[in-house]
Amino acid sequence: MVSFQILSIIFIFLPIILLLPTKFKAWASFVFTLCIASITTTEAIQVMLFGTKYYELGLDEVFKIVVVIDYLSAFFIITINIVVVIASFYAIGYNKNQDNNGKLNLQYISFSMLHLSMMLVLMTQSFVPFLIFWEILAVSSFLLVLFDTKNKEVLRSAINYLVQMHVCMLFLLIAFFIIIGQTGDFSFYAFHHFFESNNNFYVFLLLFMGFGMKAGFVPLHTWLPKADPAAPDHIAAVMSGATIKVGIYGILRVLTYIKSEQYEIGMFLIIISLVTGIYGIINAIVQKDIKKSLAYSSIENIGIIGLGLGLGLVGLAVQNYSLTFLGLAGAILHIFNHAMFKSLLFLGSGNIFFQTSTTNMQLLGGILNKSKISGTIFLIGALSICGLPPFNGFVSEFLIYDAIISEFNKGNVSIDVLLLVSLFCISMIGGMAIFNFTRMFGIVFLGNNRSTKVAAIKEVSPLMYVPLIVVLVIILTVTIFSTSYISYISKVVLLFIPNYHTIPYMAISPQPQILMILLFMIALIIVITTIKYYISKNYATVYGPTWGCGYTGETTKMQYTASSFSESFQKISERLLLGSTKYKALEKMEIFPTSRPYSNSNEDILDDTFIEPPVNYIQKNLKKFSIFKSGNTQTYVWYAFLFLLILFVLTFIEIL
Amino acid sequence: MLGLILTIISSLFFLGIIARTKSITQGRKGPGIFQSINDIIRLFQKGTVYSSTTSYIFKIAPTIYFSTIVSALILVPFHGQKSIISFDGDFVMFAYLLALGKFFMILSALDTGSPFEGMGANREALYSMLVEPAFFILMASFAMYTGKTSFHEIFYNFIDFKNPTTVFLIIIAAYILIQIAMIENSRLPVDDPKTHLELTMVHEVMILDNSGFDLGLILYATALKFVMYGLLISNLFIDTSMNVFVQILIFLVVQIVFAIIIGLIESFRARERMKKNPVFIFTLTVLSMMVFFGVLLMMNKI
Repeated sequence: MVSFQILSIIFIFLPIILLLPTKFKAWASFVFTLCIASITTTEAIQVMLFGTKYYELGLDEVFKIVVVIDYLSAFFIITINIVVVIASFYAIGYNKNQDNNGKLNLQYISFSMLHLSMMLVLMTQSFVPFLIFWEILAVSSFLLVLFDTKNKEVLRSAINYLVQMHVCMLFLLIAFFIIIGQTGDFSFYAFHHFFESNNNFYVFLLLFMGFGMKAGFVPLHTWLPKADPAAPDHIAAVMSGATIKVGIYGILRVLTYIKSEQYEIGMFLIIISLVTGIYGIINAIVQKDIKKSLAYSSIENIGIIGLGLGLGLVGLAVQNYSLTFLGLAGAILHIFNHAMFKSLLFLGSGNIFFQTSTTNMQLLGGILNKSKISGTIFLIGALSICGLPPFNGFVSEFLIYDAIISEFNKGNVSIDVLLLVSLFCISMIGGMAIFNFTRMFGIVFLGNNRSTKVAAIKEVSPLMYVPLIVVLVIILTVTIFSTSYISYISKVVLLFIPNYHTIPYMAISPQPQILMILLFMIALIIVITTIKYYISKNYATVYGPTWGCGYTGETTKMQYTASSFSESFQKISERLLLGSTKYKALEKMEIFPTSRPYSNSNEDILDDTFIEPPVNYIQKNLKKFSIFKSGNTQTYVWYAFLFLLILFVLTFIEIL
Repeated sequence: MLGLILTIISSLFFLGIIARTKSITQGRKGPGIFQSINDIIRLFQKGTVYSSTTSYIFKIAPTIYFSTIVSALILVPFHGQKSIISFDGDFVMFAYLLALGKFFMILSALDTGSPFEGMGANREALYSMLVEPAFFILMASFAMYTGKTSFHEIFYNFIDFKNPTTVFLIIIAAYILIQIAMIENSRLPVDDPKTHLELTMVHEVMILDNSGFDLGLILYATALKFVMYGLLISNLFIDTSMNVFVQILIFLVVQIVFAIIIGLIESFRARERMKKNPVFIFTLTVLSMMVFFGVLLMMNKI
């Protein structure tokens, strides 16, 4: 109750940012973020320790704000707060060279608005306020994406984002209206009544389209790879790390109320998530822009999260609660992990952008030697996102693997086949993630520089890597204290499981053994390094050029590039990709060829086949109505008069 | 523990047997079977040359590669005996540890900035991506049949030579594991370690710039990796009721036969065309799916 009022007071004080000199704006914004975060996190921790909070705030039946903070909201509040606080601190260093006051004002204020609205969305459980906060969320993130206003591409992406977010809102609106119409209740408790007595699937589908669009499930993902690269890096970190998680929160919230048809919904979720995962990572591999590739990899991770959720639901349907537990715990832990390593990677790419003013992999290379700290941080982010031990991605992916393999002989054939397909896809996704991130890290940070942009770079200021180190520490705690993380997350999972005292998983959790292996591995690495150190003392260590097969000249341009690394992959998956090459081939009789441009690019095949054509069609046809828009005031008066006339005639002949 | 000791012993002569087989088939006198390990020991005592392009990744990658393989080896049981650390789902950890090692090897190849090594890195990444599902599905089929999810319990409960269907599945599984081992170790038919041209190499081209201690580590890691897969395969042929000495005998026989098979394959066939490799590797996944459906049949589920 108190916290809600404090949040509104913060809201009133936001314009202070406008009055401050440029230097202090970022710090002020950070303080605001810290205030919001500390208030909401306190609430969340209280909930985690003492149980659900519930209160209502005045107003009438329709606009009444029902605030419920349960374990699910508390988990998301904590996760999102970490990401937002880190990004907000990072902005202090990142925006140091920006001096456009207007743009910065807009950014900081919308940033706090975004943070506030995410918190409110997570806490509110009544339809009308929820939609209002959801709208604030969409608009404020739109304003954040729109930072580099002069860039046409950014403008296009931002408007695309705004439109898609409203389409997503439309789905939610329809679904909510159906539910309110059936039950007459304006709080989320209506879900409970509704899903008890009605056909679930169609309304669930509507809600899924709404929330799934925010989360980035294929084929509703098309805004994500456009908005993330357009936004400044710390904004992209928040969008990919936190905002899309709000979509997942919506889906999870709805799932808590669903008590029948879980099997069908679970199947649906699994299939769509596998498609999402595979499609996301395939597209991530062929991108040449770091941020675009990271955005697609977010889509892939949403697929992994969705897979866990789907497995959990199928488990609920067949009353196999250990499957439910493993699936949901894996998914929820992966939400947390993805928030961490994805913000780490985006902020890391922010450092690259800060140093070189580009995120095009083709122009980068050899950064690691010049900026060891940010490079190493990026490497650890890449390792975690591939789910490799000893980092946090492995803990959550292991839970999902465990869900798949330990449930094989318990169900019927259809579940076995489903698990087989899941296993196939998730192991493919794992392999492709390794392909993608070795490519990204190898091309950007290793080798020789590919353009002059990299030649004279320096390590970024501590303001820009200290926040990343904080995230790194959190990532490591997930591995080290995995058992306690899982036990906290099990509180969230238990919201879904009836009679939850029957779960045996915590007793047989293999986390200690995993930790033992990892410690052994690290010890071995240290031992071998020491041996190597003592041996190499006795023998000469020589530095020379890379072996070039006898060629000792310039090898910078001969290096593998981002597109040549992905070429082999592109060949075997060309049907799922839309690559286009612009190049005029040499003709037979062209004895003295002149120089000619060559360019290739990859477009999103779903965007180009399912989203663009209908949009273009609608646009073309709606243009025909522009004849009514004459621009003359007189004509518009005529329209009003005609409208009244028609109304009069209709009432006169008693049609209306 | 016994498994670990046995693997380390057989890793000493495994590469030697391959080389010896090849020399016999080619009519050469050839080196003795301990020559390969002697070469590795010699490398440990040499100085190192680093490329000035490289960063610390290049220096640490061989160490990590070696450590991941030893850690993965700890998870593999020797039949009848528990592995040193065993838990549910340990084969997932096994695969991910190997992947971690490969991740660093790929990066170290890219670190040199050499066009050849970039090529090798790319191929290695592609092939290990494609081979991943085959291993998982194979192990999952066993997990489905036995209802257990750790290496130890799977092998303990699966092997039964009285049932003809099991024997059939064991043979297919052994075939798949051999092929996976060949791909993971970059041997024929996917990669030819003795090829002359950098453009046609996969693994060899990745380690062109490694020398001295690092190269020794990588080569010994390769031997260990081979023997580790040999251990996995030998687990398929050992029944729990057997005497420990018989088990050790079978283990050694499997290792030696495995090495001889590799030697023979490398003597008598050429490498696949690079273009065909992805298809070939993917076929293994299809084969392991066949094992999966075979298990479904055995359990009377279909």
